[in-house]
Amino acid sequence: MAAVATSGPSRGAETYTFSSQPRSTAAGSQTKKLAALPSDSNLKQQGYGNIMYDRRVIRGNTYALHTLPAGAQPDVVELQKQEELRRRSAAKRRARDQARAASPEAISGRKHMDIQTELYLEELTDRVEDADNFTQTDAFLDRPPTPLFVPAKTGRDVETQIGEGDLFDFELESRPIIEVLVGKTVEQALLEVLEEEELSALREQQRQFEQKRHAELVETQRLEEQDRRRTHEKEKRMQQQREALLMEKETAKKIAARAFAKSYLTDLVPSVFDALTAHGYFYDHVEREIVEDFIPWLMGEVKQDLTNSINARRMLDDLIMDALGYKKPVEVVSLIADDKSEVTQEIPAVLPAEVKVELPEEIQPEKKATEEQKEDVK
Amino acid sequence: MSLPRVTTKAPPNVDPVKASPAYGICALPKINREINHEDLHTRQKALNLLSDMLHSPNNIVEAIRVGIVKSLKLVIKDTDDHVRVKSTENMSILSGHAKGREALLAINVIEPLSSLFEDKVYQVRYSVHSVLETLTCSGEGAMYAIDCGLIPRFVERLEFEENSVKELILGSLHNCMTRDTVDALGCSAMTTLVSLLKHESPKIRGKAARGIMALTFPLKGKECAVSENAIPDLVELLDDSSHVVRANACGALMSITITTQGKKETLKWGVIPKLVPLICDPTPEVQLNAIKALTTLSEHPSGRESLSDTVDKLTDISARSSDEYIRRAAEVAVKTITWKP
Repeated sequence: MAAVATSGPSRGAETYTFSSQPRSTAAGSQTKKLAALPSDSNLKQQGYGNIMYDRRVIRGNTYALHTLPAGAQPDVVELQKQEELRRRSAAKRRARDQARAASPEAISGRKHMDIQTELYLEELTDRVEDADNFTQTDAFLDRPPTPLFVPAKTGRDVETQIGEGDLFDFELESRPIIEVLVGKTVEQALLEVLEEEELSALREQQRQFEQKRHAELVETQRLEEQDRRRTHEKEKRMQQQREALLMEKETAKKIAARAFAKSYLTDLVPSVFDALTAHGYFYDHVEREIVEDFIPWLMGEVKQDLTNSINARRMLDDLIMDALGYKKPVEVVSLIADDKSEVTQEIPAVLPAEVKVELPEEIQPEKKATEEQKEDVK
Repeated sequence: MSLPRVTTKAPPNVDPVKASPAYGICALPKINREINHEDLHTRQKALNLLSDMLHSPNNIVEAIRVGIVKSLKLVIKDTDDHVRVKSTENMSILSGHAKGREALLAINVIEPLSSLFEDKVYQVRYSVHSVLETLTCSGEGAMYAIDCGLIPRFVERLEFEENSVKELILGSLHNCMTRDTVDALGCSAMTTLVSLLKHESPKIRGKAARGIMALTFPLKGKECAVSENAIPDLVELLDDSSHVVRANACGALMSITITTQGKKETLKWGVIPKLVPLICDPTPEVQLNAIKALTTLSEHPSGRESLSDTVDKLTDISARSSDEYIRRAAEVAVKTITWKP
């Protein structure tokens, strides 16, 4: 069947209807080309394609309806007019370009440059300012959502009836369990807190007690120390006092002893002196020396002297006797023996021969003196 | 589509780190058995559960009765860190109660605990020292710790431990030193304590000052404090922002200044202008200790002289204070200052 497009005066009131018999499509590329430029002849040859490209199908708003008459042909006169216009404008442009005078050639060593001669300088760029905009339609916008796969039911349905309140109600059922849990936890926590509080209370009490005990202890120690210090002080003072007393007593004793000694000694000294004097302890040193040393010495010397002189006389007598040849020794001896017998006895031994030898030279001057002495003695 | 789960398997173990307690009176005997179990995971789970249950005093009595304390004593030497952490933690919970302390002392737990002083796990050391601190609160506990020779070890650990453990050690040391100071003086505890007076934590400063106070009650301690130069640091602490530190510093000074030598040394550091404002301190402890310290200082002639203008303040305190001890102390102070030889 052919498509029937309503036309004529009734066109505005009626809607388009379209119907076509289903048929297989032709090869892709050809169909598209043909469909793009549909014409009655094409349609007639090829049948009807996609109505989306059918010129006769109205798309969009029907108020601004612009339809082509069914057998519309392009106006030849109109086409020619347009061609003429285009040609004319091209010729006009060419003529304008040629009319413009070109600048003379640049002299050697120089070069033409483009410069701006406008009042305001502006940046010149080769690039034309542009902005990219694009749009993309959603993919498969028209595709309906895939329905949920529901497997085909197998087996037999069984059902059970559940009455009101038969099912597990979490809110209701969990309440007692949670209460127990919370209760236990709180109880445990309470126990622990109480325990700690008790301990800290005990500590606090102990600390306060200790505090007071320490204060009392310090007080006691202070008093003890004070007591000790004062006792120490007292003892020291007593000791000092005692020492002072002792010293005083000693001094008194010393004084008494001194007085006693003094009084005792006053009598003692004269009596002792008397006694000593009586015993002969006090003597004159000079006198004693004279008596003890000098006198004996003097006596000895005198004796010596006398002995010498006696000897000398005896020798003289002997010499005289010898000279006279006359021996009378007894007389002389007896004469001397009156004084000192021992000296006389020794004389013979004391005067050996040597004296006799010496004498002859010296004897002469002495002779007279000896005789004189002899006379004195007689 | 919901299916009813019907299974022959037991319900899944909801809490893998904790054992589920047996019902009623079987709970603690079961835990006791499991503590001695050879499987490590069982032991850990049992100890975890025990540490929750012991917070109730009822369970403590029951635990002592079934002999859990003895099991704990054995298990603190375990090679597993977690077992040691938990067993010592359980002991520290036990030691919070009088019954628990009694039981712990009865099985001589102090000595095995002291072998954990050098443990590499921090929580173990923390728990050990917290147990010892509470145990030494009582007289016999302190005596027992002294007999075990713990004082030198405490002093030694004070140099290496972390601050929170240091606090506990200082507490134990103080408790022991209130009983006997011979050991502490012998192992140069005074030097360590004086060095801790400059610590940045006010708690440690306060406890160090408290330790010095306890150490200086006997005569030898006072001499030692003077020779170790504790006085300038203590005088500095009188301006501290923490009232505990101030109170303890005052306390230590009041104890040191009892001897004549201590008085002379303290007066040399200009202590009186710092002590006088403290007698109006809002904390009664600080007040009491400051008044006591002034009383001891006023026994020295130069101290008495410089304190003569605070007599009015002290009479005011003795008339108005609500604390009986402070009133009495202020009266004594006035009497001492106005004393004429």
